[in-house]
Amino acid sequence: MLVTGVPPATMDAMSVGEAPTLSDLLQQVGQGDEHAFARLYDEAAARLHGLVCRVVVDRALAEEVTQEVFLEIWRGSPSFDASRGSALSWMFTIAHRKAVDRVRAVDASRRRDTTYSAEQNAPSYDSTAELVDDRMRADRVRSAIGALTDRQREAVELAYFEGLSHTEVADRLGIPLGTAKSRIRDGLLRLRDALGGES
Amino acid sequence: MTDDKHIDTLDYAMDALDEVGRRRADQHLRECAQCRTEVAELQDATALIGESTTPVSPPPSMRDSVLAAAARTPQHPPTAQGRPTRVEPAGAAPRRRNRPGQWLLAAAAALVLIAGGVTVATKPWQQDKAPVSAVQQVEQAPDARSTTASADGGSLVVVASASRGKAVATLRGMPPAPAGKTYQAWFISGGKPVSAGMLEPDKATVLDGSVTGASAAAITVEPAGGSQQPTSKPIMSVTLT
Repeated sequence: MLVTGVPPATMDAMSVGEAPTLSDLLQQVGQGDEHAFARLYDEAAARLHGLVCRVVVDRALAEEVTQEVFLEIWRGSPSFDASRGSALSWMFTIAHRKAVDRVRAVDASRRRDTTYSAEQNAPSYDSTAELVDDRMRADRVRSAIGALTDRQREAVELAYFEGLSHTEVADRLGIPLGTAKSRIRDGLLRLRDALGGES
Repeated sequence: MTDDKHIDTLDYAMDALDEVGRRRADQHLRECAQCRTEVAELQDATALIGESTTPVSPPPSMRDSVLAAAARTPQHPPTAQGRPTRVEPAGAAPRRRNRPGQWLLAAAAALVLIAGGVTVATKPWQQDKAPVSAVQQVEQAPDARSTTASADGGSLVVVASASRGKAVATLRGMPPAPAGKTYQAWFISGGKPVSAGMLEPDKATVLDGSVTGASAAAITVEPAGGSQQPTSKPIMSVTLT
């Protein structure tokens, strides 16, 4: 999908045989490679936009945020270090930060008025565009999250998706701050361990 | 870690810090390998939650906008930390941080662009430790106060310190100014706007001039190079009292 603007020769070289990993692409982007950036966009846009939509909710705002996210990825890519973490992790970190910042900046009521519907946002992206190394990973991520306790998942998701501070999470759940923080931290560490050493 | 000396890595990784807190944490992270490691581990986990969301295809038009914007946007030089952080001032690279005073030169150069030429009144601060940026000088002042205004999907964050007499402004979520235009900041003093310099989106900038006596700060879109007086209505403003 959406490969206009990328020279056919580049696409052929990239899609035949060894598919580049997101990490490869991001490193090329870090060298100022605009074709790699186009390819990276095609591979990652739906996933990052999915997160942004989940956090920001308002569709028009979410689209603005996703554009900012990609511009930030472009600008910051020279600092990406594959030895320190996965490309996806790096990009999701940027996306989450931008999305949460935006949510905090807009009137909270505006956000609550809109109901998020995953069904309406059904992905229309072509799964063949998914990169080899990420296909299996998606499955593993889902099972890792399934391995959290309900309480951990609840606390983690409130903090992460709602952009709530830990104090707010504690208030919302009616639990002490320390409890909220340990649920979140334990949940995160369990997630990380479940994906052990993958990056 | 929650020691006084260390940052709360969980808050940091979950983006639960406000503007000022995050900037402080970024500064600490540049110096503390232990916190850096913790943050990296937690961020790997937070990113997994991000990955668990259902993908949503953005509108096809976004692709062209993003690629066009990238084509005209310079990349940041690599940071030693290797993680996305908001590093200001003005595109300073790590090697620049080791040369205190460089940012002042940059600030002075920026001021030259401002119509009406205002004298740089700031002084180089003590250089006994790791150089602290002008932005940090204001944001880490004990009396720093943050005020945020939102409009058009973007926001203006102004952190003002009466003791320093200065303010730092950051435009968030705004597109680059249109071709031939610039974002210009103004202090409103005695009901009159006084230029406080130019802003670029997502770049924390120490406003030119003193915050003392200013009742508000506002942003307008002006012709490139800035104006002596605003030529358009403010897109956002914050009260500074």
